[in-house]
Amino acid sequence: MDPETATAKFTEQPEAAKASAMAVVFGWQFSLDTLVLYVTLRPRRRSELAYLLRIGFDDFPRRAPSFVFVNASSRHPDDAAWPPGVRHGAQPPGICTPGTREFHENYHAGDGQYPWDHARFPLLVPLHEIHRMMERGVGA
Amino acid sequence: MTALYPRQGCRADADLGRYLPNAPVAAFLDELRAKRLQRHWCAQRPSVSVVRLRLTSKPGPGIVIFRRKTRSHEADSGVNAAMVAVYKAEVDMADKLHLTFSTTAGDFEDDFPANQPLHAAKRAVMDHLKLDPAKADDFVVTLGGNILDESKALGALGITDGSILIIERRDVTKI
Repeated sequence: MDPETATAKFTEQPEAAKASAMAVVFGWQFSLDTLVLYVTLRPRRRSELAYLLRIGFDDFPRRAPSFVFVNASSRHPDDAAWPPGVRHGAQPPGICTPGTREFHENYHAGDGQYPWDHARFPLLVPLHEIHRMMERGVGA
Repeated sequence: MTALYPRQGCRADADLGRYLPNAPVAAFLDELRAKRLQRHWCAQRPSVSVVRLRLTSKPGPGIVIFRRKTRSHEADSGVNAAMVAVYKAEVDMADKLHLTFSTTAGDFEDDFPANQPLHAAKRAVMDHLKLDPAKADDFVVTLGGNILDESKALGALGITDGSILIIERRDVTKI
Protein backbone atom coordinates (compact mmCIF):
# COMPACT_ATOMS: atom_id res chain seq x y z
CA MET A 1 0.00 0.00 0.00
CA ASP A 2 1.39 3.39 -0.98
CA PRO A 3 2.03 5.98 1.76
CA GLU A 4 -0.79 8.26 0.61
CA THR A 5 -3.37 5.50 0.81
CA ALA A 6 -2.03 4.40 4.18
CA THR A 7 -2.26 7.97 5.49
CA ALA A 8 -5.83 8.25 4.23
CA LYS A 9 -6.72 4.96 5.88
CA PHE A 10 -5.26 6.17 9.15
CA THR A 11 -6.90 9.60 9.00
CA GLU A 12 -10.38 8.22 8.55
CA GLN A 13 -10.12 6.20 11.78
CA PRO A 14 -9.95 9.08 14.29
CA GLU A 15 -12.37 11.13 12.19
CA ALA A 16 -14.97 8.36 12.28
CA ALA A 17 -14.52 7.97 16.03
CA LYS A 18 -14.88 11.70 16.65
CA ALA A 19 -18.01 11.87 14.50
CA SER A 20 -19.68 8.93 16.22
CA ALA A 21 -22.46 9.56 18.72
CA MET A 22 -20.50 7.23 21.00
CA ALA A 23 -17.91 9.95 21.45
CA VAL A 24 -20.65 12.15 22.91
CA VAL A 25 -22.12 9.42 25.11
CA PHE A 26 -18.76 8.32 26.53
CA GLY A 27 -17.26 11.80 26.63
CA TRP A 28 -14.11 10.90 24.74
CA GLN A 29 -11.57 13.65 24.25
CA PHE A 30 -9.20 13.25 21.33
CA SER A 31 -5.73 14.62 20.74
CA LEU A 32 -3.78 13.73 17.62
CA ASP A 33 0.00 13.81 17.42
CA THR A 34 1.18 12.67 13.98
CA LEU A 35 0.54 8.91 14.00
CA VAL A 36 -0.44 8.76 17.65
CA LEU A 37 -3.96 9.37 18.88
CA TYR A 38 -4.51 10.13 22.56
CA VAL A 39 -7.99 9.57 23.97
CA THR A 40 -9.01 10.60 27.46
CA LEU A 41 -11.46 8.12 28.95
CA ARG A 42 -13.60 8.90 31.97
CA PRO A 43 -15.98 6.45 33.64
CA ARG A 44 -19.42 7.97 33.25
CA ARG A 45 -20.36 7.37 36.86
CA ARG A 46 -16.99 8.36 38.28
CA SER A 47 -16.06 11.34 36.19
CA GLU A 48 -13.39 12.39 38.70
CA LEU A 49 -11.26 9.60 37.25
CA ALA A 50 -9.48 10.04 33.94
CA TYR A 51 -7.24 7.70 31.98
CA LEU A 52 -5.17 8.54 28.92
CA LEU A 53 -5.15 5.93 26.18
CA ARG A 54 -2.31 6.08 23.67
CA ILE A 55 -3.13 4.58 20.28
CA GLY A 56 -0.17 4.18 17.95
CA PHE A 57 -1.00 3.90 14.26
CA ASP A 58 2.51 3.26 12.95
CA ASP A 59 2.38 0.73 10.12
CA PHE A 60 -1.41 1.02 9.90
CA PRO A 61 -3.36 -0.54 8.20
CA ARG A 62 -0.90 -3.39 7.65
CA ARG A 63 -0.78 -3.82 11.41
CA ALA A 64 -3.42 -3.11 14.01
CA PRO A 65 -2.97 0.02 16.14
CA SER A 66 -1.24 -0.42 19.48
CA PHE A 67 -3.23 0.50 22.60
CA VAL A 68 -1.61 1.31 25.93
CA PHE A 69 -2.53 3.55 28.81
CA VAL A 70 0.03 6.23 29.60
CA ASN A 71 0.62 8.84 32.26
CA ALA A 72 -1.71 11.76 31.56
CA SER A 73 0.99 14.34 32.22
CA SER A 74 4.15 12.83 30.78
CA ARG A 75 2.36 10.70 28.19
CA HIS A 76 4.87 7.95 28.93
CA PRO A 77 4.05 4.35 29.84
CA ASP A 78 3.33 3.99 33.53
CA ASP A 79 1.92 1.02 35.43
CA ALA A 80 -0.18 3.39 37.54
CA ALA A 81 -1.79 4.81 34.43
CA TRP A 82 -3.79 1.66 33.79
CA PRO A 83 -7.35 1.40 35.05
CA PRO A 84 -7.99 -1.77 37.04
CA GLY A 85 -9.03 -4.86 35.15
CA VAL A 86 -7.99 -3.69 31.70
CA ARG A 87 -4.34 -4.64 31.29
CA HIS A 88 -3.51 -8.12 30.05
CA GLY A 89 -1.25 -10.08 32.34
CA ALA A 90 1.22 -11.17 29.65
CA GLN A 91 3.95 -9.20 27.93
CA PRO A 92 3.98 -6.82 26.19
CA PRO A 93 1.56 -4.62 28.13
CA GLY A 94 -1.66 -4.34 26.21
CA ILE A 95 -5.37 -4.91 26.05
CA CYS A 96 -6.87 -8.21 25.00
CA THR A 97 -9.65 -7.20 22.68
CA PRO A 98 -9.97 -7.50 18.90
CA GLY A 99 -8.64 -4.49 17.06
CA THR A 100 -5.54 -3.99 19.18
CA ARG A 101 -2.07 -4.90 17.95
CA GLU A 102 -1.30 -6.68 21.16
CA PHE A 103 -4.36 -8.91 20.73
CA HIS A 104 -3.69 -9.88 17.13
CA GLU A 105 0.11 -10.15 17.28
CA ASN A 106 0.65 -11.49 20.79
CA TYR A 107 -2.23 -12.76 22.88
CA HIS A 108 -4.14 -14.27 19.94
CA ALA A 109 -1.40 -14.54 17.35
CA GLY A 110 -2.36 -17.18 14.83
CA ASP A 111 -5.93 -17.35 16.07
CA GLY A 112 -7.92 -18.04 12.92
CA GLN A 113 -11.06 -16.58 14.47
CA TYR A 114 -9.55 -13.12 14.74
CA PRO A 115 -7.32 -12.29 11.80
CA TRP A 116 -6.44 -8.59 11.73
CA ASP A 117 -8.62 -6.72 9.25
CA HIS A 118 -8.86 -2.95 9.52
CA ALA A 119 -12.29 -2.98 7.88
CA ARG A 120 -13.63 -5.52 10.35
CA PHE A 121 -12.11 -3.84 13.39
CA PRO A 122 -12.30 -0.07 12.93
CA LEU A 123 -11.03 2.09 15.78
CA LEU A 124 -14.50 2.35 17.33
CA VAL A 125 -14.61 -1.40 18.02
CA PRO A 126 -11.66 -1.63 20.43
CA LEU A 127 -12.21 1.90 21.76
CA HIS A 128 -15.77 1.12 22.77
CA GLU A 129 -14.79 -2.21 24.30
CA ILE A 130 -11.90 -0.67 26.23
CA HIS A 131 -14.24 1.96 27.64
CA ARG A 132 -16.61 -0.79 28.81
CA MET A 133 -13.72 -2.70 30.37
CA MET A 134 -12.51 0.44 32.13
CA GLU A 135 -15.95 1.17 33.58
CA ARG A 136 -16.29 -2.40 34.81
CA GLY A 137 -12.79 -2.24 36.25
CA VAL A 138 -13.45 0.84 38.34
CA GLY A 139 -16.84 -0.46 39.40
CA ALA A 140 -18.79 2.11 37.45
CA MET B 1 -69.91 -0.78 24.84
CA THR B 2 -68.78 1.74 22.28
CA ALA B 3 -66.93 0.24 19.37
CA LEU B 4 -63.58 1.84 18.80
CA TYR B 5 -61.25 1.41 15.92
CA PRO B 6 -57.70 2.08 17.08
CA ARG B 7 -55.18 3.52 14.72
CA GLN B 8 -51.47 2.95 14.93
CA GLY B 9 -50.22 3.59 18.42
CA CYS B 10 -53.54 3.12 20.16
CA ARG B 11 -54.42 0.42 22.60
CA ALA B 12 -56.48 -2.55 21.63
CA ASP B 13 -60.25 -2.15 21.64
CA ALA B 14 -60.69 -4.01 24.87
CA ASP B 15 -58.21 -1.87 26.74
CA LEU B 16 -59.76 1.32 25.50
CA GLY B 17 -63.26 0.11 26.08
CA ARG B 18 -62.77 -0.45 29.77
CA TYR B 19 -62.34 3.26 30.28
CA LEU B 20 -65.54 4.24 28.56
CA PRO B 21 -68.40 3.36 30.91
CA ASN B 22 -69.36 6.12 33.36
CA ALA B 23 -66.56 8.33 32.22
CA PRO B 24 -66.10 11.52 34.27
CA VAL B 25 -66.24 13.80 31.28
CA ALA B 26 -66.18 17.10 33.18
CA ALA B 27 -63.15 16.08 35.19
CA PHE B 28 -61.49 14.93 32.03
CA LEU B 29 -62.03 18.30 30.40
CA ASP B 30 -60.59 20.08 33.43
CA GLU B 31 -57.53 17.87 33.33
CA LEU B 32 -57.26 18.41 29.64
CA ARG B 33 -57.13 22.15 30.17
CA ALA B 34 -54.74 21.81 33.08
CA LYS B 35 -52.37 19.80 30.94
CA ARG B 36 -52.55 22.46 28.25
CA LEU B 37 -53.79 20.00 25.71
CA GLN B 38 -55.86 20.95 22.74
CA ARG B 39 -58.38 18.71 21.17
CA HIS B 40 -59.53 18.73 17.63
CA TRP B 41 -62.59 17.07 16.33
CA CYS B 42 -63.60 16.80 12.77
CA ALA B 43 -66.05 14.67 10.91
CA GLN B 44 -64.41 13.44 7.78
CA ARG B 45 -67.46 11.50 6.84
CA PRO B 46 -70.93 11.62 8.38
CA SER B 47 -70.46 8.23 9.94
CA VAL B 48 -66.89 8.63 11.21
CA SER B 49 -65.40 10.87 13.85
CA VAL B 50 -61.71 11.46 13.88
CA VAL B 51 -60.19 12.26 17.22
CA ARG B 52 -57.06 14.31 17.34
CA LEU B 53 -54.99 15.25 20.33
CA ARG B 54 -52.18 17.72 20.17
CA LEU B 55 -49.75 18.91 22.81
CA THR B 56 -49.73 22.67 22.63
CA SER B 57 -46.02 22.77 23.40
CA LYS B 58 -45.21 20.78 20.32
CA PRO B 59 -45.63 21.83 16.72
CA GLY B 60 -47.36 19.58 14.30
CA PRO B 61 -50.77 18.73 12.96
CA GLY B 62 -51.78 16.49 15.84
CA ILE B 63 -52.01 12.77 16.05
CA VAL B 64 -54.93 10.71 14.94
CA ILE B 65 -55.55 8.39 17.83
CA PHE B 66 -58.46 6.45 16.49
CA ARG B 67 -61.64 6.85 14.61
CA ARG B 68 -65.03 5.87 15.75
CA LYS B 69 -68.17 5.08 13.87
CA THR B 70 -70.90 7.24 15.34
CA ARG B 71 -74.58 6.62 15.60
CA SER B 72 -77.02 9.51 15.62
CA HIS B 73 -78.59 8.66 18.98
CA GLU B 74 -75.27 8.40 20.81
CA ALA B 75 -73.24 11.03 19.08
CA ASP B 76 -72.64 13.23 22.12
CA SER B 77 -71.99 10.51 24.64
CA GLY B 78 -69.92 8.64 22.14
CA VAL B 79 -67.71 11.61 21.46
CA ASN B 80 -67.27 12.32 25.14
CA ALA B 81 -66.44 8.74 25.82
CA ALA B 82 -63.97 8.79 23.03
CA MET B 83 -62.27 11.82 24.57
CA VAL B 84 -61.88 9.95 27.82
CA ALA B 85 -60.41 7.04 25.97
CA VAL B 86 -57.95 9.37 24.31
CA TYR B 87 -56.93 10.73 27.68
CA LYS B 88 -56.50 7.30 29.18
CA ALA B 89 -54.52 6.22 26.17
CA GLU B 90 -52.27 9.24 26.48
CA VAL B 91 -49.46 7.32 28.08
CA ASP B 92 -49.04 5.11 25.10
CA MET B 93 -50.43 7.24 22.33
CA ALA B 94 -48.78 7.40 18.98
CA ASP B 95 -46.25 10.03 19.88
CA LYS B 96 -42.75 9.96 18.48
CA LEU B 97 -39.31 10.13 19.99
CA HIS B 98 -36.34 11.47 18.12
CA LEU B 99 -33.53 9.05 18.94
CA THR B 100 -30.02 8.25 17.84
CA PHE B 101 -28.86 4.66 17.95
CA SER B 102 -25.09 4.39 17.97
CA THR B 103 -23.08 1.30 17.11
CA THR B 104 -19.48 0.62 16.18
CA ALA B 105 -20.76 0.22 12.62
CA GLY B 106 -22.28 3.69 12.56
CA ASP B 107 -25.13 5.80 13.88
CA PHE B 108 -28.78 5.92 12.91
CA GLU B 109 -30.96 8.89 13.82
CA ASP B 110 -34.71 9.00 13.27
CA ASP B 111 -38.14 9.48 14.81
CA PHE B 112 -39.49 6.35 16.46
CA PRO B 113 -43.06 5.73 17.65
CA ALA B 114 -43.16 5.86 21.43
CA ASN B 115 -45.24 2.72 21.45
CA GLN B 116 -42.73 0.74 19.43
CA PRO B 117 -41.10 -2.04 21.47
CA LEU B 118 -37.39 -1.52 21.88
CA HIS B 119 -36.56 -4.90 20.40
CA ALA B 120 -38.37 -3.95 17.20
CA ALA B 121 -36.57 -0.62 17.02
CA LYS B 122 -33.25 -2.37 17.58
CA ARG B 123 -33.86 -4.78 14.73
CA ALA B 124 -34.94 -1.98 12.42
CA VAL B 125 -31.79 -0.01 13.21
CA MET B 126 -29.56 -3.04 12.76
CA ASP B 127 -31.17 -3.74 9.41
CA HIS B 128 -30.63 -0.15 8.34
CA LEU B 129 -26.96 -0.30 9.36
CA LYS B 130 -26.58 -3.58 7.47
CA LEU B 131 -26.03 -5.53 10.66
CA ASP B 132 -27.65 -8.95 10.58
CA PRO B 133 -30.96 -8.60 12.50
CA ALA B 134 -30.87 -12.37 13.03
CA LYS B 135 -28.03 -11.68 15.48
CA ALA B 136 -30.04 -9.10 17.37
CA ASP B 137 -30.05 -11.24 20.50
CA ASP B 138 -26.27 -10.93 20.65
CA PHE B 139 -26.68 -7.22 21.27
CA VAL B 140 -28.17 -5.15 24.06
CA VAL B 141 -29.33 -1.56 24.08
CA THR B 142 -27.96 0.69 26.79
CA LEU B 143 -28.73 4.17 28.01
CA GLY B 144 -26.42 5.79 30.52
CA GLY B 145 -24.68 2.45 30.94
CA ASN B 146 -27.88 0.64 31.89
CA ILE B 147 -29.22 -2.21 29.81
CA LEU B 148 -32.78 -1.45 28.73
CA ASP B 149 -35.68 -3.90 28.85
CA GLU B 150 -36.34 -4.61 25.19
CA SER B 151 -39.80 -5.99 25.82
CA LYS B 152 -41.02 -2.52 26.75
CA ALA B 153 -42.13 0.25 24.44
CA LEU B 154 -39.74 3.16 23.94
CA GLY B 155 -42.16 5.50 25.68
CA ALA B 156 -42.33 3.28 28.74
CA LEU B 157 -38.58 3.20 29.28
CA GLY B 158 -38.15 6.78 30.41
CA ILE B 159 -36.24 7.62 27.27
CA THR B 160 -36.35 11.32 26.55
CA ASP B 161 -36.53 12.95 23.17
CA GLY B 162 -33.05 13.35 21.68
CA SER B 163 -31.47 10.50 23.64
CA ILE B 164 -28.53 8.53 22.28
CA LEU B 165 -28.85 4.79 22.75
CA ILE B 166 -25.93 2.42 22.35
CA ILE B 167 -26.33 -0.96 20.70
CA GLU B 168 -23.48 -3.10 21.95
CA ARG B 169 -22.50 -6.73 22.13
CA ARG B 170 -23.96 -8.67 24.98
CA ASP B 171 -20.89 -10.83 25.51
CA VAL B 172 -17.93 -9.64 27.49
CA THR B 173 -14.37 -9.89 26.22
CA LYS B 174 -12.27 -11.78 28.72
CA ILE B 175 -8.98 -10.29 29.73
